[in-house]
Amino acid sequence: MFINTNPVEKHYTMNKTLHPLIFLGLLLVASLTVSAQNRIEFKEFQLDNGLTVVMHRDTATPIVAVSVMYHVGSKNENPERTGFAHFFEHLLFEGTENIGRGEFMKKIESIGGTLNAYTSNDVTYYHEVLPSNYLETALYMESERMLHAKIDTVGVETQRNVVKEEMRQRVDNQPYGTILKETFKRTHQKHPYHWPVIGSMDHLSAATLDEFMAFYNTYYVPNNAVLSIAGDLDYAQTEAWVRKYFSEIPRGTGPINRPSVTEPKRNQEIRDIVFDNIQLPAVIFAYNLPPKKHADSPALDMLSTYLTGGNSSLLTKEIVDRQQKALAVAAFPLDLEDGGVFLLYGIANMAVSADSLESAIDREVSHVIAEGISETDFQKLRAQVENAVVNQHASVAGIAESLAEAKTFFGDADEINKEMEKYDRVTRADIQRVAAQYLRKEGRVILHYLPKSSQQ
Amino acid sequence: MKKFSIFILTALLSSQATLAQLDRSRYPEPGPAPEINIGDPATFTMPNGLRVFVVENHKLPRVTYSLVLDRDPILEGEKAGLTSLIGEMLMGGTTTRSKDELDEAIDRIGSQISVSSTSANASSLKKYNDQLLEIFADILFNPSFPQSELDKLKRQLISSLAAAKDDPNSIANVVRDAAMYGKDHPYGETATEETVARIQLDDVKRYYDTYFKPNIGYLAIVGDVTVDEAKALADRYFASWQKQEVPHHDWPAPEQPAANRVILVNRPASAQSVIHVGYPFVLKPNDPDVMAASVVSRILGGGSSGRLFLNLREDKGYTYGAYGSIAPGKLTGTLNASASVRTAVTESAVHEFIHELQRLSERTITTNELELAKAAMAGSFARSLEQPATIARFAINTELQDLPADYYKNYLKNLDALTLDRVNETAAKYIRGEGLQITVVGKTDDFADRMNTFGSVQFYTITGDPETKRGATDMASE
Repeated sequence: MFINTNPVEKHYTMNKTLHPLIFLGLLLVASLTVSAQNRIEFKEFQLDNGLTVVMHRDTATPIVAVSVMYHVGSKNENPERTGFAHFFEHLLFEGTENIGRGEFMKKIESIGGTLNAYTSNDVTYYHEVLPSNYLETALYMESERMLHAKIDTVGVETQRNVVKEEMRQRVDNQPYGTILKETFKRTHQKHPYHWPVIGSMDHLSAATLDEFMAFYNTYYVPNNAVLSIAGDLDYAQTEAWVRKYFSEIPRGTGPINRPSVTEPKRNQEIRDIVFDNIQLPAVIFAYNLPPKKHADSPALDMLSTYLTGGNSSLLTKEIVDRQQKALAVAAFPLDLEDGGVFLLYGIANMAVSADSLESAIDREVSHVIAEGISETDFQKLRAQVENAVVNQHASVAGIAESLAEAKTFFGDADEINKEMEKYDRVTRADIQRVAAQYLRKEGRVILHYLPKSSQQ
Repeated sequence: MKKFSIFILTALLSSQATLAQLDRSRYPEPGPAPEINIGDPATFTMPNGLRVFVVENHKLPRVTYSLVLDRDPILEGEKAGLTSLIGEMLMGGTTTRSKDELDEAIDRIGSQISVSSTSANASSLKKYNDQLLEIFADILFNPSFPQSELDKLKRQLISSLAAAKDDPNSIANVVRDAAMYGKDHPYGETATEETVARIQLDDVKRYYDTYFKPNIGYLAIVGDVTVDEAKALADRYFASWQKQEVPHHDWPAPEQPAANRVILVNRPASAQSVIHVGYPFVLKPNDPDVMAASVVSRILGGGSSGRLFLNLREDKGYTYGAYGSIAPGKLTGTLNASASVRTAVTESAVHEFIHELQRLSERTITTNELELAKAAMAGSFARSLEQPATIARFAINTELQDLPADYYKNYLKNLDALTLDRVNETAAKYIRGEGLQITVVGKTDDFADRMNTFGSVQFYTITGDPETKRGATDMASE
């Protein structure tokens, strides 16, 4: 993230402090990433330079969301230069040929807008929400960023320091802050999901200005981007403005590195201990997932809800409530383009060992694999999904993002209108099948996070 | 043939459009400013005193109920932690449903219900509205408070407290408040293993019997529901809730330190220092200065254009983010500015915080800064209206904080009318570069010996007590 979304610190309350999984690039995660029941109408066109544009009109509030999703994330990076995509998320706020240093943020705020960005293993997403009479301004600014961002020594030096602090704040100084890094290091040994999105500070320090420029010219190009606009807009006028500002941006010619490596299937469990500045042990179960587009993704999503979604979910009820072995449990699929990770973790209650927590969770998961789920539970799961479906897309910003994701990952923005169907197709038997197929003990990664004080 | 020529014409036009020189050196002109409409919720008071606010919005087939209880802050004392258990205890079972049955009922309709000691929320799809309300009312009005739930929650809370001992941000908040308000003040007290262990079922029941009363309640009903429906529902589920006088509690406004105090917490494992700089003062939410104070607040440390962000992050690169705000409050207003910075620049960062506060107090706000802050606040106000719940929140806030009835209706107009003189005067009145409490959680061995340049240094424990071994005198002699 470019800036903290909620800088105002919260007072301590129970359970609130225990969300270790606020890592970099996790914004793509929602336990049920499904679309609204109400159909989202949209229009789409493509410029000659390859830029795809998706527009959705909703005039309820006089605001508009403008966003660009660049199809570049940490997986496209050179293994010797990790952290570039995330670093650009910072650099591209520095300014352009026509927008002075620091002015980008200031301008958006001065027209009553808000902005931010995030980087994942697969994409980088820049977004603004602003009063709808400034739509043209936002389009101009995004076109500037795509046409000729200013990348100079001052900006690079400043943002290097900022990113180092971001890493200290969100990873090093954060209890359990290294979970994702430690997990992906082991679940993806061949695939570039291996390294963390924030990358290596050594790589960023070693990189030259020319290397940054080359990365920009290769990946931040119209043919590698989706421009998504939602809100109080006029379709024809918006299209005219998009053509006005984006048409002259040349198509990229650099070789876009899209890793083709498939992570080999492992048949051996990997198990490790990580010592951290924590008081309560945590156990992490990680299982490799199929690619995001795989037909099993909706079932896996529902499986994660079955395990930890709601107070009556299997693990919350059994491990937190009845056995009181964990303070919190959570499961969610980090479904990445080339196959991410199904992450399941528990934070131990006082005086409960990691071993004891692990075997308690294991017993429940094995039970799902062996016995499946009851019809009552399956119906409950469907109601939970339906509720999530409706609650999605309650904002124009959310709609712009969903459209951009659908277009980028599925090649079809209308995918967002088909998601309910996909969940509807999942059967009760599918839940058991995907549990058996993907949550196998063989090939999984188990991490025990233990207090440093227990390290001998 | 005709088709062909039209094609040529279109091609020609579009190529001309691209060829026409686009002036990229300036921003496009905006269109006419859209009108911001703020609707009014339907409002009514039930015979038991419950205030109800209804916002109809049929865009999505869902309904949300949000209840707020307006009570004075209370001191939990030797049972600190009690209020943080109330919500979960209410969710722990009813006279007719065990906790398991309750959890199952909530999830079966895909709904969400959460409760705290002063609020309760429930939401679901419209089609489950009746079931949702039946469960919600059952939780609120028929709790069974099982002992087993209390035992479980106490154990969890004690575990959470243990976990928080390694979270530098939690530590900073606890220590800052304890040092600022004192541990005998509702804002300064801290739950510990000992205080949580003392909590009994009777304490929970007593709290519930004392404070869960409709006459201090504000209920917002928002979503796919008509006003008539909402009235009928409120009548059916909330009318039998009995009113009862709720006790008031007065608390002294905290003292403002005359000189700087430096509060240090040693956390040897820290990669960064968590710094908080601030002080309490009097500024009630309905004070006429509040609007100007929020502009000053924004200029100090709101978002990515605040002075703190621009200085500590964009100019110095000390931190991922530096923010600050002025928060009005019925009991006390507070100024708080904070950042996480790398250990090596702790002292420099504190210096910059003080510098920015001092500078802001000296009538240094420029027209550009004022215009930027106004625009940002107006924009944020307009964007918040996208969520229908905002209108209910405005109406409830107006009553809770005793704001003028038309406060939100006139918000944009009054914001726009603020003059440079007025905001500089307000900054001079509320902002100061001395009498600050500077709280730092970090690897103090690396910088503690230089912190007395800012004021008297006192080490605190992570639970907010002054350390007896390493006091101010020890530091001075080092």
